Amino acid sequence: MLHLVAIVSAPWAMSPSSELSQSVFRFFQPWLDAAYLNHGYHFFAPEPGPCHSIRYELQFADGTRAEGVFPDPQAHSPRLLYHRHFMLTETAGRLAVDESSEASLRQLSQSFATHLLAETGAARVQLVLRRRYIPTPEQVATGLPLTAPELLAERPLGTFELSGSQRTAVPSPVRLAERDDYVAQSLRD
Amino acid sequence: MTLPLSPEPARPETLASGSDLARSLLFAPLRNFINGISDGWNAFWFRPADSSPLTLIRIGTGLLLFYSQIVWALSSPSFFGPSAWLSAAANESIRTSAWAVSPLWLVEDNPALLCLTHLTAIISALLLTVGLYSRAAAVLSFLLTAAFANRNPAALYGFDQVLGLLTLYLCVHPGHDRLSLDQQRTRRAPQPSVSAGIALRLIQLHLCLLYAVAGLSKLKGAAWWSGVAFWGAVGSADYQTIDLTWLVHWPLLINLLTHLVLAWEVSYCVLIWNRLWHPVVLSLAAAVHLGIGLCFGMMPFGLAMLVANAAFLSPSLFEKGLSRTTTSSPAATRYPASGLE
Repeated sequence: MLHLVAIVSAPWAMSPSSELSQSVFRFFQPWLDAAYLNHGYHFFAPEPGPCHSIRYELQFADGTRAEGVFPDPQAHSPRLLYHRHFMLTETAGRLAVDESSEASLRQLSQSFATHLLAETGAARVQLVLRRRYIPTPEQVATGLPLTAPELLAERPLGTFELSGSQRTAVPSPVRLAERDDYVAQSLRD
Repeated sequence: MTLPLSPEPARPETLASGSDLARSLLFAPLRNFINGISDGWNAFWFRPADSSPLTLIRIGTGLLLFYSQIVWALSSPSFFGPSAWLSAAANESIRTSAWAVSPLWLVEDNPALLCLTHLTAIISALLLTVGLYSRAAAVLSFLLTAAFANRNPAALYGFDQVLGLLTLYLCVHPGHDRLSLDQQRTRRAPQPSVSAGIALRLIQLHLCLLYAVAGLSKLKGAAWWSGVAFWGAVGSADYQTIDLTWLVHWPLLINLLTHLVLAWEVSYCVLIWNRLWHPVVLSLAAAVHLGIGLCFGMMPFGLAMLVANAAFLSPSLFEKGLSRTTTSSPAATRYPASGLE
C-alpha cells in the first residue's frame, strides 16, 4: 500500500504541484530515487516539441580541426545507443530553457567536453547546442525537408580545454559562452 | 373469506431491546459495506493466481534486459569510465536527491571491476530469461538496473523506466514455474500462488498509473486538443525511422490518430478492467507500441510496454502453448488475475 502511494506521488509532485503532493513525494523520495522509480511518465507531454543535439568542433595540438554532432544515428548504433546519446542532449536542451538551471547546464557542458577531449585526444573543443524545430505540415507540403537548416537554432555552450589534471575540461579563456536566447531565433516562436 | 397467510409477527421478546433493533438497522448495512470492501480488497490482492503471464513477462524482460546490458557494456567507457559523458559533478547537479545512489561510481577507475559488473549484469539477465535461480536473478537484475540507471540519469528514457518496474515486480514472483530451468530442476507442477497474484496486480496498477499520467499530462498541451500532436512525432527528424511525411496530405488522419492515442491513454486505466473493452484496449496497446517502435526507432521501449501489458492477458491464452511443454495445473485456470474475473 505504501509502495502504491509512493509511485503515485512521483508524477503527482511534478511541477506544477501542490505543497501536499510535494510533502508526500519527499517522504517517499529515498525509496523512489534509490529504486529508480521516480518517474513523471510525461511522454510527449504536454506536446511533442523540438529536439536537441550538440555540434562540436575539435581543435588538435597540431592545429588540425574536426567537427561532429551527437547524437549521430550512423555512429551511435544500435538505435538504443542512439537514444541514450539523444537523451543526453535532450537533458541539455531542457536545462537550456530554464534560467535557474544555468549552473547545471554549465556542469553538463563541461562533462560533455571532458568526454570528447579524452575520447579524441583534442586540445580544445567548442560545443554548440542545436535545437531542431518541427516544421508544420503546411511547410512540409510545400517542400521543406525535416532536416532543413532553417529549422535549426543554435546556442553556444562554450569552448573547453583540459585542465592541468587532464581529467576535467574547463572553459577556455579564449572564449566563454554567453547566454544566447536561441529560443527566440526559432521559426515558430 | 380466507385471509392470506402472513408471516408471524416477531414477538417482542425475540429482540433484546429496541436499541438493539435500531443499532442493527443502522449498522448492518455499514458492516456489510465494509465487509464487502474488505473481501474485495483481499480477493484483489491475495487470491492465488496463475503465474503464466509472469512467465511471459520474465522471458520478455530478461531478453530486453540482456539487450540493454549488452549495449551498456559495448559503450562502457562512454557511460561508466573515468571520462564518461556524465561526470560526478554533472550528475550531482542534475539529480534530484542523494538517494539515487549507484555503486558504479566506485568502479569507474577500475576496468577489471567495471568489466565484472557488466558481466554480472549480463549473466543475471540471462539467468532471468532462462529461469535459473529465478528469484535471485530477478533481485540482482532489479538492483543492477537501478544501479546502472542511477549512474546515468541523463541517458535514460521510457525503456529503462519500464525495465526497472518489471524487474522490481518480478522479485515478488518471477514466473519461474513454467518454461524455466528451475521448473525442470524441481519438476514441480505449477500452482496458483498469492505472490503471483500480488506481482501481477502491482504490474497492472503501475501500468494503469503510467498510462493515466501520460494521458492526463497531454491534456495540458494545445496540440493534443487541436489534433496535430501526432504530427509532432512524425515531423521530427531526430525520431523518424520511417518516412511518414505523406501524412501531410491526410490532415484528418493526423487528427484522428492524435485523438485516438489520447483517448486510449486517458481511458486505459478504466476500460482495461471492462470485459467488453479489454481486448480493444490491449489491441490498441499493441498497435500504438509497435507503431512507435517501428516509426520512431523506439522498438525496445515498444516491446517493454507490450511485455508489461502481458500482465493483463488471461492465463487461458497461455494454456495451449504452455501445456505442450509443462504440466499445467487445472486449478490454475480458475485463478486468473487478468482483471476480468
